Amino acid sequence: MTDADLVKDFRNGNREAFSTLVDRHSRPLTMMILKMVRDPEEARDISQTTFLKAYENLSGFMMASSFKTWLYRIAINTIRDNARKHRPIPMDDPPEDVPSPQRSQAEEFEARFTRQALRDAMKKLPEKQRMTLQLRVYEDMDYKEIARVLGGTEGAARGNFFQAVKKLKEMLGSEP
Amino acid sequence: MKETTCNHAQELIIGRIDEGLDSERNDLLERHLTECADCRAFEQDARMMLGAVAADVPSEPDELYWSTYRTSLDAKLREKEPHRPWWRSLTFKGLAAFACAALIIVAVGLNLREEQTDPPLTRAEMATLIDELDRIYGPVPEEQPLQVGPAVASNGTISPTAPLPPNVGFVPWFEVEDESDLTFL
Repeated sequence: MTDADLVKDFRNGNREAFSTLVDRHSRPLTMMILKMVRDPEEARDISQTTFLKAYENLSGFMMASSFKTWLYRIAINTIRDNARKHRPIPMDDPPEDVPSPQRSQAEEFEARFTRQALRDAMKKLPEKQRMTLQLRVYEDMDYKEIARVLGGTEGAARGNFFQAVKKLKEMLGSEP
Repeated sequence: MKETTCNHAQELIIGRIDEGLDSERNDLLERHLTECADCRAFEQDARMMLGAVAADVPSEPDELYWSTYRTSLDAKLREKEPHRPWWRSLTFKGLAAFACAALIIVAVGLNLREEQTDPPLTRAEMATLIDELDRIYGPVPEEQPLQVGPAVASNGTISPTAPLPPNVGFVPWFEVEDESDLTFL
């Protein structure tokens, strides 16, 4: 059963259809949010708020895009709203980060130092550029889908990605 | 002129890292890179940097996190559900069971009603009934002893039947033949 079928079922009064949509999308959506906000509790709140908004507005969903794209768009807007309320976005190193295997202690230290510098630099990026970079790198979204999720055109999404990489490179200098 | 070329080259570099380039643009970039050490360094740094971004992902939370997530989300979703009348919550099976139970109760009730005897008549109803029967069949003679069979009088004579009451259509159960002229005895 496709997402579109489940959406139609839900509109016909089958509330269980929404539960199936939650089963299908809750983990990838929450992980996407977690990669952006870096805080599991905040990611959970944002993810749940996203589903609650979807539940309330699903009858008005015109199905011009896929349910997943629509859901991610709600999530991105919720992240933005949350960031405005609780600035700065927590980007500290979470303790549950898994260290990459096959690394010496020195390499791990260097990698973490670079990772922190990278996170600090990413925090300084304009919101749309940062989100474009994250959706492209973490979610492997194509630019058409990024444009649908973030708003704007495919060309603008491409430009945002280019600008994000270029600015990150400038902020980090020649450090690898 | 070189600045513009480097800007364009960096755009191509990011495009090549990200999605790849067609052969024409790839050749154009390669020609630029052979001449420009800065852009070669840019490509190397950009590759490492995007690799570092891609590798910097938080680990997936444990199962307790997901079960708590689902439980609390389900509770929040229940709060959002519109209020439904109680009968809407009945399932089809529940309704079918309810209908079967109702049918059984009705059938048993009807059966009991058929077996039920009429209540005893009251004195007034009984009197009315007797009057009605008297009207149709005539009144029953009072205290008329019915005697069946031959009657023996006080002087010892035997009569075949007792005298019948006037209103009783009584047929003697036997007749005694007059044997006085039977000479052969």
